[in-house]
Amino acid sequence: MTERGDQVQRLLSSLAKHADLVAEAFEGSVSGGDKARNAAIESLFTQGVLKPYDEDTYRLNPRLREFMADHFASYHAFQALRRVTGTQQQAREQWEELRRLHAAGAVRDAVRLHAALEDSIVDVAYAIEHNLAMLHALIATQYGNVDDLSSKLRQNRYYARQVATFLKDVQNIDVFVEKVAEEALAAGLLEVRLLVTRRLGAKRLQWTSQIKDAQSVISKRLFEAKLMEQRLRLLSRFALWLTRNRTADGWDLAVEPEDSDALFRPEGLQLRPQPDVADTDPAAWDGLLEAVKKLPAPRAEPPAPKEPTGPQWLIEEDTPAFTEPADPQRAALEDLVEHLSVGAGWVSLLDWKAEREELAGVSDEAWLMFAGLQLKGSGFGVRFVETRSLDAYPINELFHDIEAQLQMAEAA
Amino acid sequence: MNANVLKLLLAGQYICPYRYRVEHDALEDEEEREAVDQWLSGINLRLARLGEEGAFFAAPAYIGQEEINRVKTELRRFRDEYGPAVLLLDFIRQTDVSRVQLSPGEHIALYELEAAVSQSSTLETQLKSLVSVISNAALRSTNRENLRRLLDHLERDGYVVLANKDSGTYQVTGKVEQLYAVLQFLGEHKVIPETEVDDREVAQEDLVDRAATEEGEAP
Repeated sequence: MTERGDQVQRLLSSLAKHADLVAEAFEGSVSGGDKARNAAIESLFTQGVLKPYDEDTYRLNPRLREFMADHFASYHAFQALRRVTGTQQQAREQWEELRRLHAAGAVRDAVRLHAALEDSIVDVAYAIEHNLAMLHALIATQYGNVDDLSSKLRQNRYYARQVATFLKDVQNIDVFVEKVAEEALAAGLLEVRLLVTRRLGAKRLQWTSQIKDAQSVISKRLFEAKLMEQRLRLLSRFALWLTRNRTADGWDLAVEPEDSDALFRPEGLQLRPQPDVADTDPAAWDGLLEAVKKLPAPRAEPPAPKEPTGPQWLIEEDTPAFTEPADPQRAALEDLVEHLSVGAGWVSLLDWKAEREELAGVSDEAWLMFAGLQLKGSGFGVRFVETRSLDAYPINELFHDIEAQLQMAEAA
Repeated sequence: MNANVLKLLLAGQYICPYRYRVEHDALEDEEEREAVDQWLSGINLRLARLGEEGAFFAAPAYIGQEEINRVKTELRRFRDEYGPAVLLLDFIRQTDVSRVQLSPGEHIALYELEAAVSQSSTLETQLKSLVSVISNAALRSTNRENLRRLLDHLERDGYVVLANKDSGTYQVTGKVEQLYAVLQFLGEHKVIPETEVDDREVAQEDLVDRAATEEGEAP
């Protein structure tokens, strides 16, 4: 390990030892406190990590802050893009001197100049890469380092200008690369030619394309910002017009089908799904019953209004009165009653039925049930003509006919 | 296809990420857009957007005389159709809270509006003059109540959406771009005589060009 390398290690270990203080200083300024803190500040100050800012107030070395900001892609608002023209000018001067030393044969100095030129070239490339990284970080976060929209817009304008300058710087590098490459070839310094073409020339097209991409995004944002301003101006103009012309409603304008789609406001189509009452699926059916439950109870029908009662008229119509068709059983019964009323004695109902053809369609049981009940109800004497039963203890009394006659008292 | 997307489109809604985030995300998918467009074409509609990246809505598949007549009627009745939104949004613009640009996605806090009105008698007078425009507002109500009703009115019309109920923060929706498109159309037809307004800038140069020119002039 060389002595120089050792020093770097000691510096870094000191930074690591007071990492908390360095982190605090990255966020803002730091001030003294207890003894240990004061000692740490003193140590960092001695090494140039902290720079005095105010009384007992220190800030992080700007170069160190820049290194960290690059690492964390954390940029201040309106942070300028790094200019490369200064470093490029420095590289040009170094190249001129290197060429002179090489021609003079001062090898040792020429080697030193070559190392310095290499650093300058790397620095130019690094500055460009850094600018691109910063631009992309700012564009991607929509200038997230500020919340205020108008401040974002102003940053957008600012970077639009910065990018235009940046693009010119990169285009100038092309001229520089071509010139140095030609001169190096002529001077026989091929390693210098290789250095500039490889580190700068080969990447120039890629850089230019990336810058133009960033520029187009920024231009688009600027256009949107301009559009937004126009919109607000329109809004204020029409609000003013509405206030000043309170009696005016609008304008009769010609509208063409080619006009903006946005003019044609969509009309809401009201949709209402209807239940399928014919669906026998249990789930659908249960859902339907649930829906029905929620329906309000049916209202009681109001009583029909009474029609005004006026004088009543009896209208006799000429149409013949409706005559009920004669029931053959009833007619047969009436004949029987008439026959019995003259004291005809016991008359078999079955015999009476058998003599009448119109009762042929009526069963004996039905006739006996009908005629027997009617006659008994009308006060006639009724008796059952029993069927002889062989059962010693009959439960039901069996009969096969009914006989009727006028009651004796009445007959008398 | 997302059923809610179809329902919203048929209901005449504008689907933006601030009011209908899930449905808007669904429509960001190209296949979904094509499917929805295909479905809408069956009922003589098509999927359209406000601008290149604005809210989605269902536009007529073909612009016929009926659609033209409807727009003409709306423009003839501008005061009733668009007037309230123009007046209320312009009032918010004048409060200049958070340098509001009234673009989709921006937040409007009720307490900030209230603070702006309480600090300016001009704004307070203007708010009172808008009582007849704001639904449910009243002169006897406090400024805060009237401002809340102003935002509720805009919410009902779909221009803002309540983003945080606790803090009373509203968010401008994508539908506002439809209003801007109508104003743009009217502006292009120069419906307001030049003598009536004095808000025009002397020169409307392109900002990019101006930036480039400035750099060109720089040494």
